[in-house]
Amino acid sequence: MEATALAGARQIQTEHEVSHAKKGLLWALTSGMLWGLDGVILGIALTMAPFTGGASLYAAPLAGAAMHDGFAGFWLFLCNLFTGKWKEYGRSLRTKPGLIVCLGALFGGPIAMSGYLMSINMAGASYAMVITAMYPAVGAIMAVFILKERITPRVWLGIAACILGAIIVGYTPPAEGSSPIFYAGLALALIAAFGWGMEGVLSTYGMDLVDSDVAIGIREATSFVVYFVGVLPLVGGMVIFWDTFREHSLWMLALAGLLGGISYLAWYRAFSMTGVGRTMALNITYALWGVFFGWLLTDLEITLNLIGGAAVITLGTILVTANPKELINLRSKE
Amino acid sequence: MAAKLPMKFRILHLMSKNESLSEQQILEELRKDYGSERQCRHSVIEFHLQNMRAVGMIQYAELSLDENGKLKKKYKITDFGTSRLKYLPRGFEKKV
Repeated sequence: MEATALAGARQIQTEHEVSHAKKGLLWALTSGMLWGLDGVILGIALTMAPFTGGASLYAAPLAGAAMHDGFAGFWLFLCNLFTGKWKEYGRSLRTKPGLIVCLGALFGGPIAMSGYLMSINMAGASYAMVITAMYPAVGAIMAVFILKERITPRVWLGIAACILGAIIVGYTPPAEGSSPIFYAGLALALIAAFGWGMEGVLSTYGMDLVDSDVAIGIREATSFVVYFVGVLPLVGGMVIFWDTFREHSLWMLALAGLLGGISYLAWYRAFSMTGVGRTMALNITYALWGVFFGWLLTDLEITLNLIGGAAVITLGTILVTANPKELINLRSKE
Repeated sequence: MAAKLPMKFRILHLMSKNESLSEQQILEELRKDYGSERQCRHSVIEFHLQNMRAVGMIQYAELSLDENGKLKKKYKITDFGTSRLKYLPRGFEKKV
């Protein structure tokens, strides 16, 4: 009788755990969808004044990235104010796990984003995109070694399919000939992939002891401060930054920041709920969502490689999410 | 009174000071520190506990059904969870 009651309790608990894991997968997919929409809105904002005024190749997108992260940090703070978590910012920053989240912010924000933008300029958008799309693999490998995350062969295959699909969706044949700084551009794209992978692992490590909603608030605030103090003055982006406050693009950036903030909130929640490898694989579906929203909101045309890439991403997503029961215990016991 | 830990960290710390704790017991303890804050509620604590269990910092100490068929559970800290207490701010233990 007692054994039956215990078995019943275990079954109910397993159902709760699987439900929690499924919610994590949904958060991860939501992060990809909103990141895709965010990219389209941010892209529209960057075609408006003051970003089109003939500034340097880096100044405009980096000023846009700083505004984006600043707004995302602002919206996330409002969210944490509403949910009664705002005092956790200070408490978290007084602990090492909170500082580890900040370190993750540096890798994923200014380092990876600057590397990516410079790589586009030096090696071309195709190579930059193909290399940086590898970031889920980088993150998953580091998660296995640093966090002892369990990733089955089927999920590895799913991660690979999601990356391949993202490359097919975004790929355009590279221009002939390469600039003298081509290889430096490739190295910068590798740094960007490493930065985003590292961000996932470091933030997940910190979030073992820090609330994920607070961690992402700290991440966006840290990223904004570093852009503002350390990056924009170096690339001559301060003028564009301040000019934005007098232009209509400000509202588009505020909207992009809102979408980006929610996307990041979902991303960080998913890291804690489903692990780094699966979250990054589902996040990279943004390449597909970006095309979908681009088709919906701009004059983007659907081509054959978009449809092929979408099919490969869908297959990868199915492989990654196929058995949520695997997510009941995310890490190996040493 | 020491500076407060992030609430999730405090849950792990509470676990290290008790043999096992139910969600209700954790909530009552947390209310002494974070009582007036809106984050100090069942849904948030349950979310933290599920995540902490999934990554292996805590595990079930007891699992049973009450007379109404409702799940009753208690948690305890694991060795991995105990190892994370190295991140407690210096002097925290002396002040609490």
